[in-house]
Amino acid sequence: MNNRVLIIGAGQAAAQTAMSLRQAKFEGEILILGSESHYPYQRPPLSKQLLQGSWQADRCLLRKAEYYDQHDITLQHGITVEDVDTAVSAVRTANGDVLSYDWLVICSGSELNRLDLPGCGLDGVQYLRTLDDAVQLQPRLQQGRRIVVVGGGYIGLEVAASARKNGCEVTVVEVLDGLMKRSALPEIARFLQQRHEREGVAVLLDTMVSGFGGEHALAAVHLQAQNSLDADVAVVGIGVKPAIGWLASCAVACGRGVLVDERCRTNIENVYAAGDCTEHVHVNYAGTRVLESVQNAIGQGRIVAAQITGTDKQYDEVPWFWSEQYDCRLQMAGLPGVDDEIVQRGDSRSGSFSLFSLSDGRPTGVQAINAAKDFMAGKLLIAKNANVDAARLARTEVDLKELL
Amino acid sequence: MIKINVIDRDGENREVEGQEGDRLMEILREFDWGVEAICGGMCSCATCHVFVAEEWAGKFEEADIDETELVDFLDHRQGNSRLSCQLELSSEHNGLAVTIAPEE
Repeated sequence: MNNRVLIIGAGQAAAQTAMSLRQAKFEGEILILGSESHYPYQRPPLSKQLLQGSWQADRCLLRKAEYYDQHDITLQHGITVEDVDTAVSAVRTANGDVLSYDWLVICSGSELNRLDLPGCGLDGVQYLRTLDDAVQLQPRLQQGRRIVVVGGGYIGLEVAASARKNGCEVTVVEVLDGLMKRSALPEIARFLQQRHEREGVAVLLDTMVSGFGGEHALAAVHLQAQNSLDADVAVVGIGVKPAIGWLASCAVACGRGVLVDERCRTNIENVYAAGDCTEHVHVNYAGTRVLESVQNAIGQGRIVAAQITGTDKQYDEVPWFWSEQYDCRLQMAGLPGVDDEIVQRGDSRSGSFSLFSLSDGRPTGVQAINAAKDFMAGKLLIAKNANVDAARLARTEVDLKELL
Repeated sequence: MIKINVIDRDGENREVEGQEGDRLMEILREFDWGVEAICGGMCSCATCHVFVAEEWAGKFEEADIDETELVDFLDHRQGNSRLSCQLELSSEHNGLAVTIAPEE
């Protein structure tokens, strides 16, 4: 019998699942259905190297095209899956094909939150999610162009930094009273805001966009305070959500995302999910969460492959993320709680410092700017659930390895 | 073409080819048991760890502080440890010999 793993989506989680299956000597068929026209690619460079023109599109590929042939992994591009019939283990595609599976792995990723405002369809109002988006946006970010970035999260700020590097005039508009409020600690967000301002980016906090103006192409971004910003391009980065709409009428249980346990299992026996699309359980944290990150996609992809090949692995990796803006590398690990004690290590004026969050003396998170060592140590401390002395942690003359 | 001799995680010897300007990581991640390179070459994750044969170590730019600090936390580090995302190939690297470090 030909055992088929059918993977829906062709992003980082999908590619990782396929690669890990072959590493584990899985001998059945692996079929990946992707809606885009590209081989699986890395998203992080899109807002950085791609927009800055230092990388061409093909450099973003996770593996060379030959890899998939060599490993007997079949990739079908431009396929949209519309429904799953778990009773007969088959999916139906938009062009009417029915494909059966022995195991289904849902890696449909996330989709953009979009603004529904007057003028949002004007040429020049752009989003950045896919490689095609980045390739289309890149030539528009030329010297002297006026760019308004809507949303002061990671994508928005990375786009702002890239546009500024290209010589654009850049304004960032954020509706909340601080940048990156969803995940960065306030000290980190303030540091990066100052860095952007020093580079000449205008940052407008507590500012709501009310619409976009222009005849055919964008000419201005209208703000709710009645004024407008002249703009050649607006890049909207207001977050993403799990792409699960296509699962609405099937039996796979979803909440904010596809609900999976610590083994990446859904409520259906032979259906798994991995990556951005999941609302998942983690061995070391209470409740469920949605995480959009490379690490989560890779970590869960590995778990799925292990489960399918008969190894019982559970998801217990310390979550981690990174961002790059100008010469600042932000590395973050763990999931800090809102009431955690914050310990700063290093002086932010030096351009290299970190913040550790502690709960009952145990590190829950580390957020480091140009402090790779703090990040690495923090990640290990979190994984070990180690008890640390906050006073020693704060002293840069104490070698973090002594705390491990 | 730059020929590179790689000992992978299965202990097997392989000869692969790279081009000038490639970063070594981009070649090594194509193997089944190659480097993982989770961060894609941003010197953020230390999952592309290799040992560079002694006679070749001096033919690359020295590791910067970030790379040194990341490597310092790896259990399998050695004196000739490098992160392969930081090693850019040029014509003088023809015949380079590296070993992929064990998984952490």
